[in-house]
Amino acid sequence: MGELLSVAGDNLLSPPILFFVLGMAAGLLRSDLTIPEAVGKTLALYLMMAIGFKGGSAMANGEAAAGMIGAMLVGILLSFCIPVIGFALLRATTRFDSDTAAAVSAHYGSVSVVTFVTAVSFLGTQNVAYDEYMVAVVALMETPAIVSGLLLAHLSARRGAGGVSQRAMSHLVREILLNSSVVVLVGSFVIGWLTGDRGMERVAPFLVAPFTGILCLFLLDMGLVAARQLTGSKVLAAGPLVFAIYMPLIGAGLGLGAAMLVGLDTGSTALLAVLAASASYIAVPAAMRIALPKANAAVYLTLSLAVTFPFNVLVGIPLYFAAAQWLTAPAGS
Amino acid sequence: MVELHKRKKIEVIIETPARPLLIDVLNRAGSPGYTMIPAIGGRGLRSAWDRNQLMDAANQVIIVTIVSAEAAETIMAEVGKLLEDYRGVVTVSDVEVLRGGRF
Repeated sequence: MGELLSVAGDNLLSPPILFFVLGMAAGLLRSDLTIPEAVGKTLALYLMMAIGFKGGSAMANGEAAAGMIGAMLVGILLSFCIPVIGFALLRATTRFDSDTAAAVSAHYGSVSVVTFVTAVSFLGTQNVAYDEYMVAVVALMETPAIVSGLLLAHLSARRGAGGVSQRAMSHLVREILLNSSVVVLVGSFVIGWLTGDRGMERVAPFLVAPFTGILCLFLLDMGLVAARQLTGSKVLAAGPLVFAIYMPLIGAGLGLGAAMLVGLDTGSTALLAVLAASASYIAVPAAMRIALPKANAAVYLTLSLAVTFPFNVLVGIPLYFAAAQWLTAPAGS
Repeated sequence: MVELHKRKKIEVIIETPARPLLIDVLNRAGSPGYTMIPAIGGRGLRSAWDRNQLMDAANQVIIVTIVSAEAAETIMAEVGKLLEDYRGVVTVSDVEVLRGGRF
């Protein structure tokens, strides 16, 4: 317990998290601090490029890829199944219509790349290694939840009320398969893999050295955006708000279980838990606005961005890491 | 005296995710062209909003096109159907253009 608190303290007092808190405070206090939109988007691209490339070049080194297929399969399965659980819970505990419940649950099955990046940086401060192929697992977990959420909406739609509009489908497919985070993550991973150590040597001054500083700047922006989403939305009912806290815990539990099943190391187990706990706020909202326009967008944006994201970054990551440490510790130690 | 031609100008304010659907409508109706303008904020029936820096899904865009009266009929009917599902506003107005052959 003492160790958990010290890890949680380390996390809260790290520069990226403090910048996130600064951003949230500035947003809540209605400061005029803003980060230009194009800069924010560039920082996000940079972070995805950096972790994608780093993962790929480590793979080229022949780093253990034994667990890769297993991790990928459970990642896809988690992404597909978590929305089903979320949907059932939302229908039981809130008054959301089936489209809104399906859209919200799709967000929780899919992943937040920024939460993953923050967790990677956290593992770095704890000197804990993880399998580099986890970056590929991130990309694979984005989409299945969208399909699962749309199926849920489709199955529970009655007589044409709600459900997926046919007209939207063709645009949706492109949105799902070619959204920017998947393209940049997978693309950088492949480029890193192709160019290996030599490639890494050449880009390291740009992609490795400034990484934590850029993460700080980006999390400052995220704090502002999350706080403004929170203050801009009408106060949500208790049911959905509580869901945005316990759903990541359920996801993390499933992620930990799945990681144990395929035998991942401590770092990768923590990362899979983080992925299963995190909720998308970029790719999935865009897909859900097209496919399920009758779902209430304010609900899923507020829950995933303004409640679950801060929860995971401030509390979740050290918690899931402590659980992963406990679960993967050799018996008797 | 310059000769002017009567045409219809259609302005649609619509949430960004629905943009490709609207452009499909314009293309199918034979619109000769359109211009998109990003919206930076506003207030609708539900609440006020500001341009969201991260998520395009929450943003709105304005699309302007100038067409013949017949094309305007088709576009208004189709946009009406879109606006049953997606958030937005559509208006049509009478305008005069210099080069009638282009619109």
